[in-house]
Amino acid sequence: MTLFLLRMRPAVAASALLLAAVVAIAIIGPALAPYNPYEIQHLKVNQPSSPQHWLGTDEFGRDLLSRLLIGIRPTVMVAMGATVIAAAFGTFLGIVGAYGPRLVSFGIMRSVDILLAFPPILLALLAVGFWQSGVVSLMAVIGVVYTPHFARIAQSSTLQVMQQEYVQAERSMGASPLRIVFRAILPNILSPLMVQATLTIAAAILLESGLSFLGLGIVPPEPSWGQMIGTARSYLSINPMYLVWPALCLAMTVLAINIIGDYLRDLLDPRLRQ
Amino acid sequence: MNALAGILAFVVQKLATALTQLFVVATLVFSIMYIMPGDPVLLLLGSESSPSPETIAAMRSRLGLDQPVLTQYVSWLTDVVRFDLGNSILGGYSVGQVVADNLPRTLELGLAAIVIASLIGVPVGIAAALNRGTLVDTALTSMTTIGISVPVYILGALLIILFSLQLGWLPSSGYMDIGRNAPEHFRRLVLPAFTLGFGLAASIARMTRSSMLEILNRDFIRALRAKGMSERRIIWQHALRNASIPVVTIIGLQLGNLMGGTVLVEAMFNWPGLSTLLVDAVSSRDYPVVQGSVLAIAALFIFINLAVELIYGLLDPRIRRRRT
Repeated sequence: MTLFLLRMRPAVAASALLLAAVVAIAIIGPALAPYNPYEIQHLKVNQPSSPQHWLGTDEFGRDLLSRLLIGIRPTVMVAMGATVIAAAFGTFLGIVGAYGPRLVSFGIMRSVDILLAFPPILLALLAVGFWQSGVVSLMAVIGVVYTPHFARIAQSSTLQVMQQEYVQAERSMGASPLRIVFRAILPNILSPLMVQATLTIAAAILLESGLSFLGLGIVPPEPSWGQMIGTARSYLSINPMYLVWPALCLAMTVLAINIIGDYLRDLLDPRLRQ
Repeated sequence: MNALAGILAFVVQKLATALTQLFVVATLVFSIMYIMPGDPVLLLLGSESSPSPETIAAMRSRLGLDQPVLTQYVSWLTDVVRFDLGNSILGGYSVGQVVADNLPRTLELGLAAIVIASLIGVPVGIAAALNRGTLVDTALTSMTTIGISVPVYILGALLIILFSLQLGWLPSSGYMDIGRNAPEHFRRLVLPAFTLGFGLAASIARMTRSSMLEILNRDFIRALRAKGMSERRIIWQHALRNASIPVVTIIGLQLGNLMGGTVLVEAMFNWPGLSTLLVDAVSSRDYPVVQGSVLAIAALFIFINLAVELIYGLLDPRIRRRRT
């Protein structure tokens, strides 16, 4: 493992470590929190960093470090869940779009084109307002919003793979469409989909935190980074560090995922490996 | 004659696509209430603990929800075509009027962001390309990576902390009518426009850098050098002009992201544009306003895309001939 990390570029290795830490904290975060993250203390409102509260307190006197630590979980859950949903549905739609009957594929790909034309946050806003807020619905909404991106990539990769001799060989030997899809096509379109998945995780984190920032995502008192940034916005003049900490965590995480995404793209695309 | 017919066919086809998109969006916006789980009437009356059946029925008929779905759909579409977007449930005001008030503010913010992004992005890209492989290049390129990754609400907050709280140079948020106080209007535009434009500036810088590098390797540049033309003239008059085509393309492609960014930037800076209208309406479940503002944003978006595609098509015959 160490050797593997050492052989990567330093920025990539650092990003991998950071992301491993983020995921670990998402799982065990509540155990690490020094204080109860929901405990309101009116006498300790909006305090700066101190030996007791390393990162200070928020507008209800709650410990910021504890809230940051447990705020990772909803963000990570939403991002991962949304990516899985988007990848599953998108890949399915994309393969059908390339392989299915003409009329069906025309319908799918035109809808995908229209949806792709709109900024994700706009689509998410439309759905979120009329839905119960919370982790599960955010997952579903963000997952649906990013489905067309996967469908577009799966479709174009499938079309490419279908030209290859081995697919034609399978077909001429009388393989069933299901066998062709699972044995010949899917394994060969995985790498662009994996790159898309890393990009989507980063985008989903940003979208979730954007919605939470607007007050339309994770519901208080449950914290999430975006929501903390949104709340801290009102206390900028009193306690600017309240905003800086979650902003820093969020920016670092997204940057790390993007760096890994770039690395994966280079790694999986032999043309760029030089 | 043939060329003219080709151009005409291209324009007609693009117009038809845009109108189809508008129609699909209008249908989608109409169907929000039906696709979404939950009764919009109950959502609206949600503040009352248990509304009586009479209240629900009254609200339903006030909103026209007691009509058959198809009738509602047709009347919604005809209203939209006549620019009648209905009235706000909560405020009672005309949605069309509010949209018309807020639209120019969003446009102004977006336009200012594009101008700022170009003013920063192009020189940075050129500087990075001319200093390729040096420390300057590495520093500038890393800055663009950060610029693309940093979310607008984080950048906005940092700018507010620096320029309004620490230095006190610019107001932290709010809007001023240009007719009432023009200098203050522009002072309040600076931070939101810069925040919105920063990511675009980074994209422009990257594209300018790679495009300049490619052009500088071309034969005609070598020929100009061999002819003894000054390096400054080669760069500013010949290389930049040829390198600018992909840069203009990236600006066109990034307009969508820019529109998405306005949602957060307007909220961050209390800028009373279309996105603020939408977010407020979503929070208060005032769905005629949601429908109206989404439709307006989508229409704006479709027309910008249409304009970009038409301009490219008219400039470059190859795009026109491509089957779309």
